[in-house]
Amino acid sequence: MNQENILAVENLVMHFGGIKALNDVTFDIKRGSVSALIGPNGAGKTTVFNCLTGFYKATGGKILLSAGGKETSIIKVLGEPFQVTDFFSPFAFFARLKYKMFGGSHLVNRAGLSRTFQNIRLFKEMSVVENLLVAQHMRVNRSLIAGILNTKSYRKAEEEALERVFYWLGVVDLVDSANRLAGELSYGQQRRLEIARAMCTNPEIVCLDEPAAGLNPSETEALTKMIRVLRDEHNTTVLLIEHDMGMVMDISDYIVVLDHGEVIAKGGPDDIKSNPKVIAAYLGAEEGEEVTL
Amino acid sequence: MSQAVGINFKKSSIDALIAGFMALVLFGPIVGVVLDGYGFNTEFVRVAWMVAAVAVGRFVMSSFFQTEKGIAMAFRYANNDEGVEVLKPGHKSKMVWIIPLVIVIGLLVPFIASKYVLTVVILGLIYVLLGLGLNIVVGLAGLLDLGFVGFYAIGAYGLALGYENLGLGFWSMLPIAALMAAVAGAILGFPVLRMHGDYLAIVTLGFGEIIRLILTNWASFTHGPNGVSAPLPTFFGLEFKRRSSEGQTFHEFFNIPYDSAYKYMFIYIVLFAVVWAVLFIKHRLVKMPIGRAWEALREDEIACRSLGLNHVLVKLSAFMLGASTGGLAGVFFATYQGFVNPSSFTFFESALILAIVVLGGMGSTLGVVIAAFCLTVLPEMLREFAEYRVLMFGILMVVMMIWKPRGIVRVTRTGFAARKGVVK
Repeated sequence: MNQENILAVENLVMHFGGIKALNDVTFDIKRGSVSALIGPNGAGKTTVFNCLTGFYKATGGKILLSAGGKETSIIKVLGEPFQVTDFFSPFAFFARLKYKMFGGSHLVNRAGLSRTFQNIRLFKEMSVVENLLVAQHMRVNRSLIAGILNTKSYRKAEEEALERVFYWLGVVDLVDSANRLAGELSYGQQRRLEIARAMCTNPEIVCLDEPAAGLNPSETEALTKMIRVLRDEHNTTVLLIEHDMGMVMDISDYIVVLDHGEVIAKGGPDDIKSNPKVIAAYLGAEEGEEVTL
Repeated sequence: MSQAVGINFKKSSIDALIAGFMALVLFGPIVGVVLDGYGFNTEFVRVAWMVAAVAVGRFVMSSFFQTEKGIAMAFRYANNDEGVEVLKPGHKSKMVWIIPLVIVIGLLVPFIASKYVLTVVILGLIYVLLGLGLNIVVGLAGLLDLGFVGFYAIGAYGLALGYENLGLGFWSMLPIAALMAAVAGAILGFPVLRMHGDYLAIVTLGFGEIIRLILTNWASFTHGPNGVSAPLPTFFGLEFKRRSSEGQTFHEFFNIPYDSAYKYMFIYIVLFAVVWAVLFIKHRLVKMPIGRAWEALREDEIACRSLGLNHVLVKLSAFMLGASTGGLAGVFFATYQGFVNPSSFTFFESALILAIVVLGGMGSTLGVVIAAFCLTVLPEMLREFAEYRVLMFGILMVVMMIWKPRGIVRVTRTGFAARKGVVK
């Protein structure tokens, strides 16, 4: 288990038919950092995210997540095709069969990685509190008998879940809207609720896909503060995709720049700001021309 | 238009003319031309009456919707499709008073009502069970299932064939049939896990038909279209027959004259208890993690997976619990009819159960109960209209869907009181 890096992406390749969305992407995310993944439109940022969170099965490469005291290979838990050697080793065969039948992106979340979506995906016809309760599915008492008989241990687990719900509602400033439908909330509130929901699964790393899209400057400011709270008070590693350069430069410790499915630069905000390749990718400018981000 | 109020008779007349013309086009060939051997008779009077009725009705309606009251009404119904409401945290449901009342009335029914009414109510309760089962699959988990009748058939044939081949009676088949239906639900659930909406509907439709075709064609086991007789329930081993081949019968034991209504009374009471048990379980389920997971799956499957919910298990559990309720209903249906054959399990039944769920309000327990009774008792009450029964039924459904597109009962969600947040 790698103590320093929570996430290690090695030579990640993703092809959709003939289209090569990602070519050999390699980067590491440090535990407890706020990292950003940036790049022009169509660079493959969301594809990287979908590979990391298990929504796409990467064509090649390795993604290792070291969270919850163990190392998880994200590609493996999604279910890999059978290899010839599997047919000689029943153990390997059943392991693969298990992941093929019951594997999927939910295992990535259980391993300690949660995400939000670029186009908000809340449970719109459920209340705000229920949205956060669903996220705690793995942490409550799921026994059918206990639930139907409403036993003491069941009620205790539900009460604890509700306490966590109201804690996170406090963090994202939505306590007053607790009993509204998620679909009725304003855009900014929905974005915040989605982050709270991702945090309710108790992740060690949270991936935010364009959290500031569609927010006004003061909301972006509040979001920046919130992300700092996640990192400083909950020791959560944050990985985000963002187009708002001001915000990215403000909060990121580490930035990975993608263009045409390749990593063109990695490093701290200051390195990236002055990196000629990055400037060229964004503005298509001649190298050496004076452009600031 | 500054002055909306005040009836514009010209507009009403034009509306009436258009409606009358359309009625003429529609009814003219259908009602006006009656085949008689190789020739035909024209019936102008009948058509004229129908067209006149439509035109007058349209005129009255058009005029009414121009009055103040009419506008207010149209406005009210245009605005009532806002669906879900979140209740206040300390909300006390009026059901606390209604439920004991309904239980008391329900327990009195078998002693007051005639045998005919009792059989109708039993059928109503069977459909309540079916509706509740399908409500889990369609209303809560959002998986459109058009083959629900398959599970109903499994329950019914389970009792009939279990008795014939293994000698299992009503009481032992009740749990076994629920289990069998649940297993069938899982078998259906696995291949359709990746499907949504329309595709899922088609596959489940196929499943329902497969079950029916097996029952029809596997004659050596199921006796095909001839059907199988199903046993009656027993009361601690006492049978409800006039004469028993072994042991005592109910009326002999209690020294009362034989009455064929006793068996219906008994079925009714058992069914009544089972329906309440299912209602209670359903009521608990929607508040439990599994119920929340079903609803979350209905809202957004991708988000569900991103939160660590195993969508395979969530879907399978919905299918299995829904199916087992359908299986229970099937057992009651078989014992109530005393005989099952494949013609009871056609697609029309599936459509009827789906109509119950949609009409009642997707996910609403109370709505399903009301709708189940409406859709089973109403056709009985409309027996006088005989041929027009299905037409009336259709009109009722269309009107209901225009009137209350989200079902009879508005879906409500529990509110939670704010508390101090703690994170551990």
